[in-house]
Amino acid sequence: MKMIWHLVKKDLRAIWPLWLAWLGFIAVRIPLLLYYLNSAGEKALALMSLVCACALLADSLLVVSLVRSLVHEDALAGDKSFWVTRPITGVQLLVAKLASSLLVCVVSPLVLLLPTWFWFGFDEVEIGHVLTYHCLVNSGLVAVALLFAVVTRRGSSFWLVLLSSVVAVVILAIASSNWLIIDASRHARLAIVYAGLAVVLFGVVQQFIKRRTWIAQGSLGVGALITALLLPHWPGTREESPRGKLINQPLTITWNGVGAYFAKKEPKSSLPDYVKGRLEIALPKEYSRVDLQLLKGEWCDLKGNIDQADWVDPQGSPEEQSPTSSSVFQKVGQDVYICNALVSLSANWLWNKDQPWTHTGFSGRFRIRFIQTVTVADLKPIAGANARTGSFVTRLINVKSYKNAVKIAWIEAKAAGSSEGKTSVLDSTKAKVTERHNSWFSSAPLLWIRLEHHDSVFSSRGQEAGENKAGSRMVDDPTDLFAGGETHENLGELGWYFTTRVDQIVGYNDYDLKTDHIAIYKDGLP
Amino acid sequence: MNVIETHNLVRKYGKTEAVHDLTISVPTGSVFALLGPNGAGKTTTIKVLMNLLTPTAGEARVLGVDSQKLGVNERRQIGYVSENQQLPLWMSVRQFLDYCRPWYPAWDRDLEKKLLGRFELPEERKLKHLSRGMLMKVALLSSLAYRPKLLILDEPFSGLDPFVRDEFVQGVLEVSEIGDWTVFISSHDIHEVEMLCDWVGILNAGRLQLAEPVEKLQARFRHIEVVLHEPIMPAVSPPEHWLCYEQAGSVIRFFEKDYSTGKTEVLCRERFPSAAVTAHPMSLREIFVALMRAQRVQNTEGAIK
Repeated sequence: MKMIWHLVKKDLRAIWPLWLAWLGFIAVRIPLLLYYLNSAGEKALALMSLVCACALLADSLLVVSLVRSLVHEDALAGDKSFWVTRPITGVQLLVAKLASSLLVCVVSPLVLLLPTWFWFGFDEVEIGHVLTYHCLVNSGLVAVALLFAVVTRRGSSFWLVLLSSVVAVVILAIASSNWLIIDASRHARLAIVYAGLAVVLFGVVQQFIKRRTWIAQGSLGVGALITALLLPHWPGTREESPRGKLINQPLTITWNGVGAYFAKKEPKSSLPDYVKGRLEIALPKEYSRVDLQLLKGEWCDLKGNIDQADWVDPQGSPEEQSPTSSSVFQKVGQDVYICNALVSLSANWLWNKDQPWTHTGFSGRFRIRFIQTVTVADLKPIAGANARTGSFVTRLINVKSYKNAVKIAWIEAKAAGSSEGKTSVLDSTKAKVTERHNSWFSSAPLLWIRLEHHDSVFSSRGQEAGENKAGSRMVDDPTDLFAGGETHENLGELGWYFTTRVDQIVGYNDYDLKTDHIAIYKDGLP
Repeated sequence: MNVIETHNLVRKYGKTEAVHDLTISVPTGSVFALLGPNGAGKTTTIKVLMNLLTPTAGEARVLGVDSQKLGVNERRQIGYVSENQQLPLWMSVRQFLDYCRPWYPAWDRDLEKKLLGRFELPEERKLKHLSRGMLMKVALLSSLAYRPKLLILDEPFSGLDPFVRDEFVQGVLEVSEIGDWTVFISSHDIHEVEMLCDWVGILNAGRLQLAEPVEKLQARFRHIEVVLHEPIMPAVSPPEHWLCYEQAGSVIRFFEKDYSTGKTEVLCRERFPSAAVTAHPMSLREIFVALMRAQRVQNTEGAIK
């Protein structure tokens, strides 16, 4: 252990200039973030995204460079390294390199990041989340860099092998997604992936212990090939992942329709909502809402919609459940609700007069979107909302995003004051979100939200106090809101508070709307 | 006991055989010089001994252990200096010695100080700012300070000026007086090696030509000069152990590789009855050159046939 620490200390001394540069880079990002947070205008927003993207790229390159330097300090490939002829074992070196890589690339940035995260106002759970993100991402980069560093001797060969491998993997993955059909089960594919990982791991470990570079290179090649070929057929894809399985589980869709009653030669214009029915969808508990969208109708065009009022949120508060529609959402199993939706289908009739009238049905395809609604209470702005621009940056940690399919439904903006430990909400409204950007800043996922008509949110209250801009008042200071005669003498602090509700589109599936489900009968129901 | 032993050692790079069927023994306490021209396989042999390369066939044992299984304990008793070794150039001499010291329980601080003074190494200067000669001296110091049982030097004099070479040799000799150790040195700088070694092995094109004590080698090699009364060609062809046999007018010169006072004289009298024969002792360098020349002639004749 003592000798491992001796190696680690040597490694840290060897790379300290680059290490320091990286930490400096992280440190610079923090005031930069604060600058953008408090900047007004769309230019700042655009710059923020650009800076975030560049920072992420530079960050990754620096981490990879650091790991490369650490490993090449005692190169494993070739026979000229100093350590090889000294009483240093491969295991000692492996442990030392792992320890120094993790210390430098994962642990050391936390000295800067943790205080920042606390300053952002993250609670323990959120710190845990963002810590996990940070550790996973940086450990992943460390692992990739380590793989390539152990089979190369110099920086030039390292970057050449790394870049060419990335290009090769991308090309092979594209080819695999287009031409390779893997018929194996999920378990079989997972077994191949694990076998590939085991081969790569074996290659790395034996390189440290026995230094047979060609074996390590071969292992890496096999691992890269497996990754490239299986990447497009990854067992964790939406359809096959546990979440995907949830989405894909067969839904019971039944149609209790009432056929329209019309005569054979009835003119097209007299075919209003000719069919109404009840669509029953067994909905997994996780999804509180579904949207129905008709994609394609054959023989006729259909427009289907579900009256939103008839939908309830079983996970929402009692007030959110419509009393008139509570009956349509019935729990029928542990995780399954039945949603009895009243659906109106209207026809844009493409009438074929030669069609027989009896038992003619619609066919088509419709899409069901599963929507998970997450309410994030007290979504506080990180550095204070900018009332002038109507935007604020908050953290996006507790929102479970799935394939980035997250949309912000609305923001509840509150003007509130606090006094003697009590916060009084003076006014609140729902503001529509016009823009949202996900940013990865300071190793924390952040959400930049821009509100529409923010300036008019409280306009009715503040009109008397300030100037109007284009018919609506720009609110700079929440105290202005109360200039219309209300007293706020006892309020110590006044400020903006935001809560938001996030709708998350979890996924969608298309279903065939078959004749069996919807049918129109010439003479009414049989 | 032999510190180094190889048995039918073979090492190939692709189809090229760098070392062919090499069997040598390096006795404890000897200073063994492995000589050979460039590309003879000396460095490859040493790399196999140090487990930097795996042998294609055969076996190599160092300090009684299979070279592929050299562990920490063995490495603590082996010093290795090579012209090709990559030292951590970002370190200063002091930092480098501080880094090396903990790996060796037998590290001798007094010896370290003594050698630092002898080699006149600037302790605070970074290795990257040292000359090649200085670097080699640092490497040697870091390999001597723990008094290894076996010191392996791979082309240590390559690229060094005569003054540094001399310092280097003196450094090795100084330590060799202190304890019972073995030095295995590969080089094509025979003059420097001659000052050090008591055993010699000559390697050419991966094949071992000879391996024996220097004293014995010099005893059996002689440069023979025969002056004939008349410049006539002798009727009988020379025996195989007469190397590089050549005649210029009435003078015939060759190298006797199996010299013994009585036997060589008899052979000469048989062939040159009335000639004056003189036998000159040979230096290691002359023996080496003679062997290399003889090998080249043999190769050329083989190619013509």
